Amino acid sequence: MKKWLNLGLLISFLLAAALTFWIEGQLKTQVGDMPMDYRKEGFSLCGEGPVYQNYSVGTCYTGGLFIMREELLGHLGPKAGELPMESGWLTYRLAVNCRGEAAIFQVKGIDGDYKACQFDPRTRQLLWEAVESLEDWRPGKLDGQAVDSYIHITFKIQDGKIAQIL
Amino acid sequence: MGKLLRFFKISLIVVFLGWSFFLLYLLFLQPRERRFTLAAHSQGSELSQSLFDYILQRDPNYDRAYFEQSVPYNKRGDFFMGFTLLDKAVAMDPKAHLGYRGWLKYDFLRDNKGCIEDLKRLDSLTPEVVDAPWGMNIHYLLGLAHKDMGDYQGALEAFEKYLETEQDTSWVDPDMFLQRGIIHSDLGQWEQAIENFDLCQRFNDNRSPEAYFYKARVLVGTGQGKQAMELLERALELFQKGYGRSDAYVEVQGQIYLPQIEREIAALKATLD
Repeated sequence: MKKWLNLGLLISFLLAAALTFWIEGQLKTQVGDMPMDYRKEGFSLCGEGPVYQNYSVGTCYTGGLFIMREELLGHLGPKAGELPMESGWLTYRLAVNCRGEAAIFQVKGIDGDYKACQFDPRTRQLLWEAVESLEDWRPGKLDGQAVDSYIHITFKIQDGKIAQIL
Repeated sequence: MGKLLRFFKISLIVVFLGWSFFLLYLLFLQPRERRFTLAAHSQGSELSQSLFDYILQRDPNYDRAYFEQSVPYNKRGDFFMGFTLLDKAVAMDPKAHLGYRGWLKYDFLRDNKGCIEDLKRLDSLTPEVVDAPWGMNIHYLLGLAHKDMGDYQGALEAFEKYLETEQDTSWVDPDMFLQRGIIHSDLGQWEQAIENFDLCQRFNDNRSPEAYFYKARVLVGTGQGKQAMELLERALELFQKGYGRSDAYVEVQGQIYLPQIEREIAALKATLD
């Protein structure tokens, strides 16, 4: 009897713990998270805690999109209008740590029909370099404290030209 | 002592099993609508996505689950996944979801053509009502899309319809006047531009830095530099007080930025000196 009681206690405890930790893990993992094994030289997140979304903590570029566009287009120069002949949207997702350092960790594209689209590697590389050249990020804040967060930049490309930066 | 220990162990087993059952009930057994609400409240988490997956496994025609599942993907820039899910919701119930998809195409991607197509289709499905995609009058949203793609005539016509379909001007978003003002300004129709910027200002209790900023541009264009400077300074003051239009997710049409105002002031100062 004692043995069965102990076994029952162990199993019920393991079941409750497994369910609780599974739910906790599922709540912590978010759509669009940086892969756990992502590494970039010179970049690290500040904390072990959650990485927030820019729209929750106000992560932005100093001077807003106005200055960001100027810098991106300035970096690209005439190449902004001479990309390989493609149309669609190319989105770069970045992590911005609490010190304002940023790292691109995901690039996703769609074509005009909203189908997944890789875009020409030259376009991806050019825009990658332009986004990487941005240096004036303002980290998001939560209760006055700078925190790690995610943000994305979308390029609307029409017939090989950057039509808009969103 | 033995009895007490046994009682204690049995109590713990009851607590652990009760807790497990409670969690399983919350996730899988309670009524669908409640599971849907639970999933929607933890939007963006894997738990939320898993709960929606489970709901859809049991009821593949539950369009609202596809719609909710799409939201975090689109908010976080994964438009392929977001629109793949949203398109399923639209296919199941176009009246319920076309408006949101049209709004999203405009707001997040400036896919103005796609937005207009969706909204026109929605309008044809509901001829008896004035639709309000994502809370906006459909004609206002159509006007914004036309304006963004440079079709000013189409935009002005849509804005006119917006005015006609609201009960009175108190229901109209004051920023519509800003958009109209910008169009007239771009077309060199100074008087109409100023009239609209003034209306925008009036309905914003004179707290629209954008209306001052764009009106100042008209005044510069018509050789009234000093008055323009006054407006720019007012725009700067209001902007610094936090009255600028903005959105946590995207740039709003006609949005202005601090360096933009400062540069405009500096440039005008140089011409006035």
